[in-house]
Amino acid sequence: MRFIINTGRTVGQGSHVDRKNSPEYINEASLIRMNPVDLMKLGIEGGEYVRAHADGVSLTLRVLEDGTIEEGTAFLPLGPYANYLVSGGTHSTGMPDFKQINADIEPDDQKVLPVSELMRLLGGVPYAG
Amino acid sequence: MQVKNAICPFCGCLCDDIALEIENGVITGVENACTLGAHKFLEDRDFRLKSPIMRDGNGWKDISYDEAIEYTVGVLADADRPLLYGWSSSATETQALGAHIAELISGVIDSTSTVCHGPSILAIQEVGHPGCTLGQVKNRADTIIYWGANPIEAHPRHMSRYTTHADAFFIQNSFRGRKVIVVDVRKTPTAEIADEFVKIEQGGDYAVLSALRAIVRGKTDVIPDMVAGVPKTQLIHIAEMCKEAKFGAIFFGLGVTMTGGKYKNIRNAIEFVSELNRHTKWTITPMRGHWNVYGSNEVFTWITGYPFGVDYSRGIAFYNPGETTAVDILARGEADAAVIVGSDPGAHFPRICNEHLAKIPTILFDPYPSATTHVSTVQIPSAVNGIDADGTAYRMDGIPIKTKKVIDFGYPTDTTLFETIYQKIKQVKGGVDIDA
Repeated sequence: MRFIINTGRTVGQGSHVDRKNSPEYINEASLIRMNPVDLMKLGIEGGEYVRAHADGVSLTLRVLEDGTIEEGTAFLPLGPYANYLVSGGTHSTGMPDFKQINADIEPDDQKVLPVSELMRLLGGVPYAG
Repeated sequence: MQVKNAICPFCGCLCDDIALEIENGVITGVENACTLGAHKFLEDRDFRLKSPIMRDGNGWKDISYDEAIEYTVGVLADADRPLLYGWSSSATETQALGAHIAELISGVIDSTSTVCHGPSILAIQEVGHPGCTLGQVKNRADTIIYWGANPIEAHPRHMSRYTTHADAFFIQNSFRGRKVIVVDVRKTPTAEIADEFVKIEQGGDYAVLSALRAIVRGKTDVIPDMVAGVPKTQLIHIAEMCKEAKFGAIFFGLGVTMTGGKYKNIRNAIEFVSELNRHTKWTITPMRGHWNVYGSNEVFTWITGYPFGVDYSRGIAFYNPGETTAVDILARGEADAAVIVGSDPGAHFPRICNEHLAKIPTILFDPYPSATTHVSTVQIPSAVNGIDADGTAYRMDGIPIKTKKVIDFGYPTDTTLFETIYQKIKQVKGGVDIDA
């Protein structure tokens, strides 16, 4: 199903923003909020996983049921998971379309990758601390 | 030991009334801060990088500060198209050094405003900025609009210090009397406590602002029954509320800058304020994110003439957002070296930018391991401004505030590190001393 993903700050994301490799941050930043009716159409429940496809790539996210989200849209905290799906185009303004990600979302049985492994996919070398 | 009136180094509110309890070199208690600020102070020390690190094949090794600085100087002196990005978590003193280094190495310097309120600055350059200080809003504004902003989660004390819940000198019973309007695509926690919630379709900001301008102009007849999901009757009601205000203030967030239309949305919002100023008094202020992102725009403008995205490759300062901005330079694969200062493009830039950062020498100045750490070649931890370093920062309304150093962990400050790097590059380049 096609969705527009909006992104932004949440208290949970902001509280752990200086600890991007912590489980608390990873759990929050990879948690996609979706309307209950859309979850019903997809045949999944809150706490289960989806795969979001956008800009030629895809990744696994965990779902949170949220009645404040409009049908056909979703909300993902800003961070490495959301931006994995964002294209580099800025319409000559310097600003990418961070809050308007057109994505296909389907049920998934994979787990969410840690931030370090997500960065490895982009050519990085994970730092374990 | 108790420290009073410490400055919170989290968001653009720069709250200056924080009380800290410090015992045996550890911050053990925080008063007055929001959740975000309290986490920053209380959990800071546990998660700092202990020393500089360098990528070593498929792993990492510890290196000394001297080695890290020598590496940085070597990379920057040799680079053809270096990008110096971040700067919004540094004091203005550090930002000034960054601008001078950019000139010295013919590089590009850009701040996090490029992916935050950069479009707001573009709009202000087109039509000006009818703004004011937060003190004026607190004491005079009887009507507040939060547009595409969710301060309860992003700037949690904004409403209690300056708007909804703040006492006002010139308004009787301001706590109950102030009207708050929230415009957003979803019913955020901020919208829950608003007097009026205007729910618009995603990307509908420009149309709704245009409709409000038309109504304030007396052209209500041309408005269709629904505009981007908002009924005409509600638009007329909002326009009336705005005209009836004695002093109104719009605060807008990234819900307006990051969606389609970008800076044109902000331009429309500013022109809406201009329309309202034919009837009463209104101002508009961006909700700045990083605690000193405003400072980066000020400092870069003093030194280079431009607020962000400044390119020195021509030997003079050149500014063309969309071309000289960090995301575009990285997405085009143009930069051959990058210095990232107190920000996290690994988490906050599009994927393609990080793929490029992973290919080039990327030197990260950040106290904590972040998402960018994994795509860097070297990370250098420095002191945290407002905790173990002090300096000047600009609040979201352009008020400069001196942050406090409340503790010493022995880390060098950004300013010390960049002063050393600047002097060493100058020696390598054999250039003219611009301070002389």
